[in-house]
Amino acid sequence: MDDALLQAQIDELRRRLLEAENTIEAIRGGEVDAFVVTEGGTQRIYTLQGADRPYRLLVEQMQQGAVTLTDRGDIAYCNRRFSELLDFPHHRLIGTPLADFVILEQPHSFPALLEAGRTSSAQTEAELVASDGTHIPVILTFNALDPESGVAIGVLITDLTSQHSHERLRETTEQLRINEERYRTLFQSIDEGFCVLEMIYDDQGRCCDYRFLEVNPAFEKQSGLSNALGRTIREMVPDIEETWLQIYGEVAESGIPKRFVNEAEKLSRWFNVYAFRLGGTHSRRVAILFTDITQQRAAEIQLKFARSRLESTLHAAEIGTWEFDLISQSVSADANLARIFGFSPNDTDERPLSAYLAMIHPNDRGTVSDAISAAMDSGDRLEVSYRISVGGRPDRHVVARGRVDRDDTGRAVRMPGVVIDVTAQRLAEESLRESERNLRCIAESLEEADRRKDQFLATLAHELRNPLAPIKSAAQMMQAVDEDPEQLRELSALVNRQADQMVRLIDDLLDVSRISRGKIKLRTATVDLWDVVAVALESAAPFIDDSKQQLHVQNAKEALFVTGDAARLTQVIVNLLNNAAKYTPAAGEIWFRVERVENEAWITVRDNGIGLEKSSLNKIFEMFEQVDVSKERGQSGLGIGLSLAKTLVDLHGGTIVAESPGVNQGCRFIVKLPLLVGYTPPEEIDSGQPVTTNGESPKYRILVVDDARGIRYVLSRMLVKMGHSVVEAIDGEDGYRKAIEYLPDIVFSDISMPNMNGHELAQKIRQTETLQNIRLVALTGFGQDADRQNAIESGFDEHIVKPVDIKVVERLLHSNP
Amino acid sequence: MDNSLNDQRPPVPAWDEGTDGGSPRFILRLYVTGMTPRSLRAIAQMTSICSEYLPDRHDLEIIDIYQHPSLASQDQIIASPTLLKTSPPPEIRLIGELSNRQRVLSSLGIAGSE
Repeated sequence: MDDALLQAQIDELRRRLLEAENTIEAIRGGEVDAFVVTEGGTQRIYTLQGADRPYRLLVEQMQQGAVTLTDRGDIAYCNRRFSELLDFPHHRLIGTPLADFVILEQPHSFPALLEAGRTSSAQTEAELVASDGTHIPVILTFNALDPESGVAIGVLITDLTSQHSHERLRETTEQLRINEERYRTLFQSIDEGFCVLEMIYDDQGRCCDYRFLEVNPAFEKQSGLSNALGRTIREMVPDIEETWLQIYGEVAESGIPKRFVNEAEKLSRWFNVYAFRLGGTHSRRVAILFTDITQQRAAEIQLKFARSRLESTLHAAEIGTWEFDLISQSVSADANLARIFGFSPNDTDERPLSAYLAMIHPNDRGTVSDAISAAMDSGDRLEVSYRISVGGRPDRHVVARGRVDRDDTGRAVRMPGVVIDVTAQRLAEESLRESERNLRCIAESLEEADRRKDQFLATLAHELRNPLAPIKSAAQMMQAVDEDPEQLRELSALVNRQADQMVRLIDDLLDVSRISRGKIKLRTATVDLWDVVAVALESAAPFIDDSKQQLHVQNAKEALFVTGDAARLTQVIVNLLNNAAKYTPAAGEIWFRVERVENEAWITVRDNGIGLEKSSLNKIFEMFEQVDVSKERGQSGLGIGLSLAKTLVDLHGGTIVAESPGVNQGCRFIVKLPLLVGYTPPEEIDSGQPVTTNGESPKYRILVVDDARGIRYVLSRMLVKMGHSVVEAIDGEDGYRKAIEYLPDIVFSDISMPNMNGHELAQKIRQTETLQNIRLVALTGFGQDADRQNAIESGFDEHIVKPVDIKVVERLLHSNP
Repeated sequence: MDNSLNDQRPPVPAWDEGTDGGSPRFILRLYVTGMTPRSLRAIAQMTSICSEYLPDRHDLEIIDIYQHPSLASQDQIIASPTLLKTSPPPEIRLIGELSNRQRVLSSLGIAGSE
């Protein structure tokens, strides 16, 4: 066992020896390059020379600065990078304190860093000062090394400049990439066409073509050119307009961007183009941003056309448009409005409202201002008519219409509207109104004439009937006359007189007809007025006698001669006398005078009758004019006598005037005729005398009241012949008086009478105690139901129509109880 | 530093529990001095030998004595490069750059080295 143990120990020792031998051999053989030596408990490694060479190289060539410092902080070693960083030669650095080259930010201090570096490590950012004074940002890393070897601290210097600039570059590049992408996206997505052109020049340096280097997706749609990329315009559109080449050539040459609108006829398009040079002076590249505006342009032209058409229409319609800015109180207007207001049509500048108001007729200004204020305050619409008065131009009538626009707070801010020139309409309206007035006047006068004609016809019927009544009665009586020559003579004279009256009426009518047709002719001769007057007085006498009027005649002392138609002159005088008789009450007076006044013969007919109102003096000579046709007056006549007289006097070159102080104060007519000189005056003649008639009664006591003598006479004779006792009265007053005196059984009374008409008479009789039992019979020439009704209402018992039929009277008397 | 290295060492399986029966697992440590030429040559020799003769049955640790001076001290390394075989026993140290391949093989007692 001991042997074995010993043997093992021996083997172990041998092995160890071998190991040691090997070690020594290896060391000797140079197979080791380092030794580990334990000194005082710590291991130190000793390397053989050359073993650290790769480290040296590594340190020398690394891109960081590396420095070793002595315990004091002086540079013991520095690598090449550090020397390059500071741009100092290597030998200038060794032995120099590192602190000389370092600028630290507060609160770091170099000694503190050194201290930290001696024991462990420290790191800080700092700046190094290079030989040219530039500052270099760095990171300093301090590490403890081997103080005993004299190299206490190692410092690594990392240059942040390159890192910074690299980061900046990277950032910039990234930004560029983002921008580029952004713009690319923009150009790819915009609706406008975009392209980059390369201009192509010929030998002379003239721009002759261009190539599309870049196009965006909208390019094809906007330009109409497909697959343009890489091709030239001449390839695609050989005959493209030169202007395009010129413009792009200029942009490429000058570098001044251009915006323009141009037509590419070959592409049938209009373009709105913005062209600018890409790159510097010698860049041949031009970028184009463009839009196809063909349709827009067409629409614009259409719009322009429409606007011009609207303007023409407004002009033709004389409508001006305006907009009133209520805030600035100014009005902007179009050419039409300017024209209407008398401004120059080319001058459509804004004007203050007052400039427009000044053009408005002074009387209308207030209305317009008020209307505007009212519209602004409360209304939403403006409508006002006014006149525009511009000096030297007739007033224009216009209508302004507008609408108020309000803001959110309800404040009126503007008012757009129109002004319509309605001058023509207004004038037309006025002339229409004028002609309407005229027509109305004509219609009125026609109506008046028509009324007068109706009146005339009614009167005519009456007048023609008046003579007929006695003629008819006389004829009936003649059959019953017992050969009494005296009675026959009387009756025939009556018939004759009434016939003459009718003839006169009919002659007058014919004359009127002739005059109105301008056919009357005078058979002129030298006429002795005496002869004329004599005939006239003769003719008028019966009528005047009938009316129981007194005629006073005063003739001229000398003979008066005129040139004229004797018959016509007679007619004039007869008409005047008849007229006087007609409008003078019974028992009135008429004065007739002929005299010479200078070179005229004046024939004056004066009466004390009903006279005339001043206003009637002018109308009295008009055709069909009767002064008063009321029942009270009841005067008969056609109303043509005076008119005829005037016409005839006018034909003789004379004048006729009517004068009256007033109603019931009489009347005077003067005919003035130019005299012929050198004739002897004729002799005077006498006037007729008033006549009164009475009757008797066998059976009844009868009162006959009628202003027409013939009718009165015939009826009286008729009744006398029947054996009645008869009293006659010439009008109502006379009738009433005689009724009281005579107390008749029966009264026959006309209705239409002067002084007191039939109705009044009847009423009066009925109101009189003593006359209660009288039988009243109305006589009327009009024979109408209304007259009958009126008569019954007035108190008449019966009513008979003129001319009075003897049989009717007999029947009436027989029927009397 | 040392502890972390120890920790990183893979667990060494028991000799008799070797995966292929009678072939023992070699635990080898090669101490070198950074990247000196001899160190590099020694590393090259050992990685070559291991892959050739000891595939799948070796743990080769290469230890820089600069970085782990205390480890070198524990293993009583005095020069570099040094190869230390701790298993299988006996413990063997080979000093030098291991340029003699046969000698290395025989020293380590690797089978088939004859």
